[in-house]
Order: sequence, then structure tokens, then C-alpha cells
Amino acid sequence: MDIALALGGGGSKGNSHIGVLRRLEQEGFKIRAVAGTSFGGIVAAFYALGYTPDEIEDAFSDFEQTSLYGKSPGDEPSFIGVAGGAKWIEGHIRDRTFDDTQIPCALTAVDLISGSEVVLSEGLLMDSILATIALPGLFPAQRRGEYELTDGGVLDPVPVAPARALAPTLPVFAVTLNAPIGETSHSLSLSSLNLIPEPIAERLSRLRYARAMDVVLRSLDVMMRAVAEYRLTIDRPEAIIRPQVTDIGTLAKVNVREIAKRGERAVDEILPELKDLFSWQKRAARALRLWV
Amino acid sequence: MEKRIALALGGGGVKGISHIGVLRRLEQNGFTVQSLAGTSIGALVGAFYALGYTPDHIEELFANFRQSQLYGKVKGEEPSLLGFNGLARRLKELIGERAFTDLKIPFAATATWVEYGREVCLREGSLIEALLASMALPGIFPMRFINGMGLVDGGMLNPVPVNAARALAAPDTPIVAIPLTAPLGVPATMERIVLSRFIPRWLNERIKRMRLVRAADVFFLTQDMMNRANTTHHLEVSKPDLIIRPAVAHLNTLQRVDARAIIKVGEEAVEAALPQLLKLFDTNTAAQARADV
Repeated sequence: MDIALALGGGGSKGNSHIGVLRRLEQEGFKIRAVAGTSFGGIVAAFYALGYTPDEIEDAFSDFEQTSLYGKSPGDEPSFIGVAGGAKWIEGHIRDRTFDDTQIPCALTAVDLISGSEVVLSEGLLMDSILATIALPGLFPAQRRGEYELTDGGVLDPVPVAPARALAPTLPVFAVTLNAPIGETSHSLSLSSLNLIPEPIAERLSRLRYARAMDVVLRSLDVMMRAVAEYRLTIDRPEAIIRPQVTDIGTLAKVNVREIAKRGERAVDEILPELKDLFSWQKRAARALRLWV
Repeated sequence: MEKRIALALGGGGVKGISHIGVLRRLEQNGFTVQSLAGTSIGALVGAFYALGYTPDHIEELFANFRQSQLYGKVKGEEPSLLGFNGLARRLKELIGERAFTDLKIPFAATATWVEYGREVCLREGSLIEALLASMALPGIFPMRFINGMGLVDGGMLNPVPVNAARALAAPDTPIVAIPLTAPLGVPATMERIVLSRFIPRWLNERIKRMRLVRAADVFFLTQDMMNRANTTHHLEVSKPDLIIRPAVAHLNTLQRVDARAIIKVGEEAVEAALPQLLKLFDTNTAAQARADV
């Protein structure tokens, strides 16, 4: 059962991708290509380099989540920066490139200059990871030649089309972490940034400008969810896996293993449907479509 | 045969002044706007039209709005960078207590319910309240509460409310969408920090180079991009019968502008789309379209 995977963005919620990968492997699915956006891009890069889901889980559990933020000299301007996280990822990825991956891998970013989606699939993995995780304004944009790159989630939160481009003949499984339209979400809000200790944050959140900023962040989240839903409607992945993570903030400190479990549950919920995609009828229909 | 259409008027700040020109040219060419839905500025223009104002009258209103006086803040409102004090006061003079039931043609304003990330279609109650919610650009203007829902600009989720327009329209009435956002893949000119003309240029340049300002700039730029993505996708999914795009994408949402020049752009857009508009009422193609469905 060969498939291509599209791993969506969503910060801390993305730890559920680990559980999705593990369950899919256990059930006999062969992941032949993987595309990722934002945190999904980090998981995609690790997996494509040959890390097993268990190894990814162990590595991510070791990361000291309080050291995520920070700025490095020479960074593009940003509100909080992601220097700590970047340094940790670099410790694992080092100077490996897309040529070093064991399966085809692509990460998405958005070019601020031209206003278009950019699919990254060559050069240093680390460079592409920094671009795909650059939450607009919060983390520094990445200059690459004529491009100014930011989080791919702005235009393509779940990279179905890039996954399909990597493996055109295979069914694409999309893993989305965005709350569906019309549900409460706690992804992005001022308190979810965890910038400041709780009691002070509590005080601060009563300030008028902080509350205005909070509305801005929550609206951004709403827009991103709308983009995600539209893209899934238009790009039509063969299956959509939705881990239940709407209560988790994008930048929340989380228990990696607990969130990973939620990914496993999401796969279990639609397992019959996933397997049905490989019935001989469905296979024949796909073959026919490709042939036509 | 009467050429009835239903309109979906998109959001986009001052760009929406072009809607006035669109309405005028449609009337002049014998089209009857049977119902309309609008978001943000599209809701503002649409509401006046639904109240029975002629396009000429609406143009006069907009030409007389003093933009510098629209954005004051009111005590006790939800927090925001700018406020709607002047605009709210002006609307009170013009619209008063009138409600949706006082409208001459069916009209809806859309807003975004932030907490649930849901598009809300406002069709009853106070017209002013609905308009202020529909125009509440997050962070810039205060969020409004209607029936316990915290509402911001409808354009956040859906910059051109085709679905709302369809819900209002009589069956078989063609839906014409008027988006104001630039298509994707075109460089953005919008929302890059534009400062007041009263600040000297050298100081302006200095402020623009400040790192926090540049970070905020990236933030607004992405917001614009997502807006454009949502417009593109919504139009693709909701399939209006015709899309007319006034060439206003280069304007800034809160820029100071010459209303008459922008209205003319709206007129030109209708002019250019006239063959397609007439085609909607060509009995042969209409029958063909129904047969295809």
C-alpha cells in the first residue's frame, strides 16, 4: 500500500504527525514521499532522512521547549525569533541536503515579494526548514536570493499538491492540524505564545493594546483555517487525517508523547476507509484515470 | 426581459468605492440589482443601495466623508488601534435607527465570528451595528458584539460573500461577484506600512527601517496574502456566474484617495464585462447552462 503524505503546519500540534507516521507504518502503509509545511516540514525532513517515528519522538521529547525563542545576529526582523529551536534542529539535520533523503521530500514556503507559494526541494535541508517554520512576523523571514520566504502555511497549510507532485501515481494522505471552520480553536492567541510568566501575562492581557493584538492573532488563525479548508476542498487528497488537537496552542509547551498518541488515534478512526483505498476496485479506478 | 442580477460586493477598504461605479453602470445598462450581499466596505455601499440611495447619491456621501475624521476612538469600546467614532456618528445621521426590515431590496452583511472561525450572515436587527461589525478590521477597528458573538471584518474569512448573495437571491438569478483583492502570484503593494503624509519623509524612512515595524510589515503582508488566497479559493468553490474585477488592487486599504477616480474604475470594469453580462441573459446560453447542469 504505497502512499504519499502531506503533513500540515500547526506548531506544537504537529507532534501528532509522529503518531500518524507510526500507525501508518504499523498498518502496512509504505510512505514513498513526504511533503510538509511548517512543523509538518520538520517532521517530514526527519522522516525522509531515515529517522523512525520512535526516533523522532525521542528526539523531540529531548528538546527543551522553553529554549525555543531567541534571536541571532543577522536575522531578519521578527517579534520573538526562533533561534533556540533552530539551533536544536541544526544539531540533528546538520549540513545534509535534499539529496541525502531516503525518500523524496519537499517543504513549502511563501515568498513575501511575489506573493506566491514556493516548493523547496533542493539545497540544504536546514535552510528550507527555517523558511517553512517562519511564522509571519513572529519568526524571522528568510532571504534566499530574490525571495523573502515565510511559513508555507500562509498559502498552503497542508501541502497536498507538492506531495502529489513528488509521487504523481500514489494516493495522497493529508494530515491537517487546523480546526475545521466553525469550531473553537486555541491555536494562536497572545497567551498561547508563552512569552511571559502566567501571572504577568494575566495582567498584560487586560491591557487594551494586548487585547487588540490578541484579536489580530486569532483572526490570523481563522484566516489560516479558511485557507486550509479551501485547499483541501480544491486539492482533493485521497484521505484526510485529522488529529484532535484543537485545544493545543501553536506555540504551547506540550508532552510530545501524549500529542503523538492523538495522531495514532486519528489514524485508527478512519483505518477502514484508508485500507479501502487499496481495494482492487479503487486500484483499478486509479490506474484507469492515470492511463486516460 | 428584465435583466435581474444578485451582487456579492467584496471588502477592501477604500478600494470598495469602486462598487459605486459598478452599481451605476449596471443600472445604466438596464440591469436590475435584485438583492445584494456585502462584506466590509462592500456592506457599507450595499446597505445604502438597499436603503434606496441612488449611486449618484452614494457617490456624494463618499466624496464628502472626511477620511481624517472617520477614525476616532470611543471610550468603552473594545480595544483597537483606530476607532470608528466619526464613521459611527456619520452613519447615525444617515441611517439612524433603521433596521434590515426597512430596506427596499434584500441585503445581508457578513462578519467573522472570531471565536468559532465562522462566517456570520447578518440579515436582521440594527443596520448600523451590522455594518460596524462587518467593517471591524481586526486590531485596527474594535471588535463588535452582536447577540453575544464577538465579530470582526467579514473579509477575514471570506472577502467576497458569494454564498450569502446566493442565499438571498431568487432562484435562477445570476450571481455577479465583485472582488477587490489582487489575484495570487501578483506582488503585493497593499499593507506595506504607509505612514501619514504629515510625518516628514526622513522620519518616515527612519521609522520604516525600525526592526519591529518591519516585523509588523511582514505580518500585514501575509494577512493580505491569505486574504487573496481566500478570495481566489472561495470564488473557485462557490462559482458565481460572473466575476467583475475593478482594477483597484494597487490601492491601500486605508489610503486617502480621490473617490471619483476610483468610482470611474468601477464603471470601466462593468463596461469591459458588458458582453459577458449580456450573455447571462441570452436565452440560448442560459438554457444551455441549465441543460449542462
